Amino acid sequence: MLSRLKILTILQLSNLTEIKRNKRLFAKIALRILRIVLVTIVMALVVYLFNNFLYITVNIYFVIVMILLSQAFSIGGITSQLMNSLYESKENQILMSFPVTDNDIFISKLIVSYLRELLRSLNFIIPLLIGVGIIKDMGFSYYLGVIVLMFVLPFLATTISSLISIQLTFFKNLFKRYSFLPVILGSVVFVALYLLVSYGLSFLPDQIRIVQLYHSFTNNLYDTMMAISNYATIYKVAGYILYGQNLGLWYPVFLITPVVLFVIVYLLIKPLYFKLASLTFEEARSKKRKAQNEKSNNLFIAFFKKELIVSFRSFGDTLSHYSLLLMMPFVMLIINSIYMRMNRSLNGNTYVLVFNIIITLLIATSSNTASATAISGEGQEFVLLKTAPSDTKTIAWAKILFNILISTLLIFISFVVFRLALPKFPALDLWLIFILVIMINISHIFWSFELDILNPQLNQAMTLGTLRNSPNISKSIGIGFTLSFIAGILALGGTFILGPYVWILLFGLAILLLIVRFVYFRSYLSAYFIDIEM
Amino acid sequence: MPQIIILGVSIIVLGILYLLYKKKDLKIEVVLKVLAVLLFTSYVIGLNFENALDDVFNVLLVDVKSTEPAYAPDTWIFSPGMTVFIHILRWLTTILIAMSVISSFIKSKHAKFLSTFLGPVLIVLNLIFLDQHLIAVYGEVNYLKYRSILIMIQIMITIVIVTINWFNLIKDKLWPNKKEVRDTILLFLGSLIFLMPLGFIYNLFGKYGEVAENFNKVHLFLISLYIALIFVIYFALKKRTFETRKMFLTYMVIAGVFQYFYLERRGYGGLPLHLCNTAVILLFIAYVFNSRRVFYFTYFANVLGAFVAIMLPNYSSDVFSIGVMHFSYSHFLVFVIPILSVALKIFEKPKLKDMRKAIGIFTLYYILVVFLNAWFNNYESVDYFFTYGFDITKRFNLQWLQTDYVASFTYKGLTFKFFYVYQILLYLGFVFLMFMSWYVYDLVYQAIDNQAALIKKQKEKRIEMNKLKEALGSKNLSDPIKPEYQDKVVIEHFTKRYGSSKKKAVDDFSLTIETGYVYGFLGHNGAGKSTTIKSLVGIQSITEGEMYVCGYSIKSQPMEAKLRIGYVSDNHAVYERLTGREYINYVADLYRVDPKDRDQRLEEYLEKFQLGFAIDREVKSYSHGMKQKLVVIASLIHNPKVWILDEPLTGLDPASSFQIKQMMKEHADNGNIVFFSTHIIEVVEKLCDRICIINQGKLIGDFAVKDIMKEGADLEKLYLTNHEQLEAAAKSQEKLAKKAEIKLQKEAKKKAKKEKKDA
Repeated sequence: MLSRLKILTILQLSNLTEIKRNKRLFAKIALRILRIVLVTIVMALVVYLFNNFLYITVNIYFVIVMILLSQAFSIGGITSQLMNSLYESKENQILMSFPVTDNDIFISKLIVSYLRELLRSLNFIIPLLIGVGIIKDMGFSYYLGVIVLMFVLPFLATTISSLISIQLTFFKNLFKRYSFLPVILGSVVFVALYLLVSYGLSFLPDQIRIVQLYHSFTNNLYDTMMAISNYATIYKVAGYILYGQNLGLWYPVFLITPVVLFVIVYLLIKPLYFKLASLTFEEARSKKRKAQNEKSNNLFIAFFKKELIVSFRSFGDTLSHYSLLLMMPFVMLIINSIYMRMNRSLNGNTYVLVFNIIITLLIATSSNTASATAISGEGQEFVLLKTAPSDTKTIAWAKILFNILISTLLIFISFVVFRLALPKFPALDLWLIFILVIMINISHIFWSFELDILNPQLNQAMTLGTLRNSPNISKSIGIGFTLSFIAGILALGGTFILGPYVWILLFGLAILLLIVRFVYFRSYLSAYFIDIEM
Repeated sequence: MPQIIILGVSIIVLGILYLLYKKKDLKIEVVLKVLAVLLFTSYVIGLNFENALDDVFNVLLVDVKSTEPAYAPDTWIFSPGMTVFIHILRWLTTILIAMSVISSFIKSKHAKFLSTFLGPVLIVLNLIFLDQHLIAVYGEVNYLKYRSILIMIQIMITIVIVTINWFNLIKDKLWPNKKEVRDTILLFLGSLIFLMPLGFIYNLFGKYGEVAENFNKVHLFLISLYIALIFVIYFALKKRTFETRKMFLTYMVIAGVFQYFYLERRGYGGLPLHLCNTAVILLFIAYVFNSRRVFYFTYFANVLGAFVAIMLPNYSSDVFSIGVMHFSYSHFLVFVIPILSVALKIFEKPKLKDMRKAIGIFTLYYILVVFLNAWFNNYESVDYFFTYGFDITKRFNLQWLQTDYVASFTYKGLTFKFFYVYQILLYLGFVFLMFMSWYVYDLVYQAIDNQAALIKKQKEKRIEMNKLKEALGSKNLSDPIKPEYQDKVVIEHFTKRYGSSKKKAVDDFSLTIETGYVYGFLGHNGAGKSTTIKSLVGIQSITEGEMYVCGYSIKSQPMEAKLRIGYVSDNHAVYERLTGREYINYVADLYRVDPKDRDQRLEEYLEKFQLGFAIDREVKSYSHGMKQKLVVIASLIHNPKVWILDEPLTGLDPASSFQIKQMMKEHADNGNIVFFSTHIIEVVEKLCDRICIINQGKLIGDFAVKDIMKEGADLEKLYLTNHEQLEAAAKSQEKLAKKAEIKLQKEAKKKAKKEKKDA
C-alpha cells in the first residue's frame, strides 16, 4: 500500500508542479526560503506595531485567534479544492482505472492537499508565530511548538476539510438534481446574511469617536479574543503548547486528535468515496424540456436566447462570475454604517464619497471576468461560429448585452438594499454614484471583451476546460483597478476644486470613456473577430 | 578690439587644426566632439548667474494687471526695439550652441545644416553686438569679467565649429535638397519654443498673466498646452528617421539643462536634489551615456513627480514671471522627454525589471534626501522632494501626521528630525503611484500599438474588398467568383503555415472534388488532413492559394461558401446545457433554415438516427455516439451541397457508424458532394468513390477506388507503399529545409547586430 501511495502522490504532485524537470530547483528553493525570511521580518514588524503602537495585546489569546482565523481560511480553501479534486476532477477517471484501491486514491489526494497546505502555511501563520516569538522574546519550547504546529495544523485542516467535503458534495449532487434548490438556498443565505450584518451593525454606537473609543475598542477586542479562545477547542490546546502550559497533558492531546480525526475520516469515507466520486462520471439523467422547434426572428435573438438558456442552466458557474457583486451591498453597508456614525468634517464627507466610488467600482469591475473570457469561453463550440454563414460577430453583442443587464441589475439591487438599510446616507449622492458606476462598468465590460477579441484563449479552454489562467482576466481586473483609482482621484481633486460641480466633470469623463470604448470595441470586433483561429 | 581678438584666435586655431589635419591626419570628428564639450561646459557655467536684462520690465507697455506703474522706463537698459533684438539674438545664439553641440555627436543632417547655415549670420551679429550682449549680462561693458571671457570663448568655439562644418560640407558636397531644407526649417521653428529666454515675455509684456492655480483658466491652458505639445511633437517626428528623432529629443534634453541653469541658484536650496531638478541632470546623463537604468528611473519616478507638480502647482506669482516660466519649462521637459523617448523608440518600452531597478534607485534617492533635509535644515530651510515641509499635509489637512510622529537626535550640535510616519507613507504612496504609472503606460502603449494594427487591418480589408469587386467585375457580390466551379470543390495550390513558423503544414495542395462522389481523404496522423479541412470550412486562414466551394472563394466570399457547406468536426463540440432540439434550432437559425424545412428534416433525421427519445434532453446526458449523431443532424439541417466530415466514425459503435455511412452515400447520390477524412482503409474501400492521399502536407495521389479494385491492387498496400516511399523523401526534404532555416536565422541575427551597431 505504501508504495502505491508513494507513486500516486508523486504522480499527482508532478502534474501540479515541475519539480523533477526543473533545472533551477535549488535556486527556487533558496528564493523561497528568502521569501519566508522576509515575510517573517515583516510579520515581526507587524506584531511590534500591534503591541506597541496599536495597543493590541499580543498574548496567548491573540495567538489562538490568529491560528483559528488562518485555519478557518485554510479549511474553506482546502474544502473547495478537495471537493473538486476528490469527486469531480477528470484525472479520477485515469486514477480509478489504475490497479489501486479507492482508499489509496483518497489518501494520496489528502497527502497532496496536506503538502500544499504545509507550503502555504509558510506564507502566513508560521512567519506570524515566529514573529510573535521574536517580539515577545519566547523560549526554546515556543519554537519547538511552532515546528510541531507547522506539521500538525495542515493535517488538522486537511482532515476537517475532507469531512466537510463529504457533506457538501452530497448537497451539491442534490442541487444538480433539483435545480430550484440552489436558488432558494441562495436567497435564504442572502437574506440571512443581510439580517446578520444589520444586527451586527446595530451594536455600533451612534457616535464613533475613534480616538476616544480606541481604548474601549482594544479592551473589547481583548475580551472577544479571550471568549473566542475558550471555544477554540484543539486550537486552544495549540496555544497552551506554544506558551508552555501543561505540556505533558496537551502535547499528547494535540498529537492524538488529528490522528483520531483521520481515522474517523477514513472509516467514514471507505464505503462512500467511490460512490460519490463515480457519480460525476455517470450520465446524468436530466429532465425533458419543451419539445418545440422555435425559429428566432434574427441572429441576435438566437444568440441572446442561447446565452440565457446556458447561463440559467449552469446557474452555479454564472453565480460564481457575479459573486463579488452579490457582496457589494454588504460591503457598502458595513463601511458606510461606520462612516455615518463618525463625526465628519466637510473634507470627511468628501473622503466618504470618494471611498464609496472606489470600492463600488472595484467590486463592479472585478466581476466582469465573464466579459474578459466571453469568446474564449466558447471553447470548442467556437467552431460553429467559424463555420456558420452568418454575421456571427453578433454573438459578441448578445453576450455584452447579457453581461450588462445582469451586472446592472445586481448593482441596482445592491444600491436599493443599501438605500433601505442606511437611509442616513444622502440619497442624491447615492444615485449619482450609481449612475457613475454603471457608466464606468459598461465601459469596462466593452474593454474586457475587447481584450478577449485581441487575445482569445480558445486553446486553453479547449485543452484545460477552464480559463482560470487566462491573462485576459488579470488584465481586466488590472484595468478595473486603474479605472477605480483614477475615478477616485478625480472625484477627490474635483471636489476640492469644483465643489458640487465635480459630478459634471465625472459624468462628462464617464460618457467620453463609454463612447471611446464603444467605438473601439466595435472597430476591433469588425476587424478581428472573423480572423480568430482555433 | 575684442572682436579682433576673437577672430584672430579663431583663425589661429583653425590654422593649427588644418595643419594637423593635413600632416598628422587629425580626426575631425574627435576635434568637433572636444570643441562641443568645451562649448557646452562654458555655456552652462556662464548661465548660473543673474542677468541685468531679466530685471527689465514691460518694455512694450502692455501690462494692464500690475499694481506697479505700467510705465517703468527706469528698468530699461535698452530701447524697446533693441531689447527685443537682443532677446532674439540671445535666443537664436543659444539654439545655435545647442545644435552645434548636437551635430558633433549625432549624425543628424538637420542639426548640421542649422549649425552651418545659421552659424555665420549669428556669429557676425554676436560680434557686432558684443557690447550690447555684455550690457544685457552685467548692465555695463567689462571685457575682463569672467562671464565676458566665457562669452568670447563661446563665440570663438562656435566660429571654429561652424567653419569646420562648412569645410566638410564643401568637401563632401553634402548640399541639402529641397526636402531637407524644408525639414530643417520646420525643425528650427519647432526648436524655438524650448529655448525661449525665460525673461522674454515678462520683459516685453510685464505681468500680463494670472497666477496659475486650482485649475483656473491659466492653469488649464498650461495643462492643455503641455498635452497638445506632446502630440504635436510625436506626430511631427513619428515618421522621421531615427537620427532626426534622436537629434530633436537630445536637443530638448539640452534645452532642459540650459533652462534649468538659467536661474541663479545659491545655498543648499539651489542644489538639484528636488526630484524634478535632479531629473534634468539625469536625463542629460541618460542621453549622453545611453544609460537605460538612469533613463527608466526618470521614466517612472520623474514623470510622475512632474505630472503631480503640473497638476498641483505651487506658484505665487504671475504665470509669465521668470520663476514660474522656469518651473514650467523644467517640469514640462521632465514630463515630456521620457514619454516621447519611449513613444519615438529612442529607448525601448520598459520591462518590469526596469521598473524594479527604478524603484531601487528611487529608494536610495529618497533615503538620501530625507537625511539631507534633516541635516541642511539646521542651516536654512530646504524641502527636497517634500519630505520635510508641510506642503503636502497642509493641502489635505493632515498636518498631524508630521507633528505627532517625530523622531529626532542631536549630533555635534546639529538636530536631525525625521517625520517617520509621514515619510514612510509618502515613500509607499509614491512607489504605489510608480506601479500605477507603469500600468497606465503599458495600457497606453498597448492601445497605441493596437490602434496602429487596427488601422493596418482595416486597410487590408478594404484592399481585399476592392480586389473582390475587381474580380467580380459587373457581377453582384453574391455571385460566384468562379461560376465554372459551380458544382465542385476546388482547392488550388493551398499552402498553410502556422503563425511565423517557416514549416508548411500543407504545401501546394491542389484538388478538385466533383458532385455525386463520396470522396475519401486519407493520411497518417499529422499529415495535414484536418488542416486542409479546417481551412476549407473557414475555421483557419489560408496562407497561400485558394479554395472554392461551388464557385465561391472561401477567402473572399466566406458567407456564400459556408452557406453551401455542412461540417462535422472531429470532436463534436456541442453546447452541453442545451437540449438536442435547442441545439438544432440554434444551428438552423445560423443557417437561415425555414421553419417548415427544419421541422420536416429534423423529424426525418431523428427517425433515421433513432434519436427522438433523447432530443429534448440536455446534451450533457448524451453518450459519445449520440452527440456525434446530433452534430451530423445539425450539419445536414440546411441540406448543404457540400458535406465535409472530419474523422466522423471515430469512437462510434457499428450501428451508429453504419447509419452515418448510409447518410453519406445517400447525400452523394442526391447530387451533392461528400468529402471526409479518415485513416480507416476498410471504410474507404467500401464507401468512397474516389480517394486522395496526403502525406507530410503534400498530395500524393488522387485515385478512383473502382480503378484500383479493377486492377486487383490492395488499397492498404498502395497507401502504405506510397506512404513509406514518400516518408523517406519527405524526411530528406525536411533535413534540407531545416538547414536552410538555420542559415536564414543566422543571416537575420547578423543583420540585426549590424543595424544595432549603426544605430
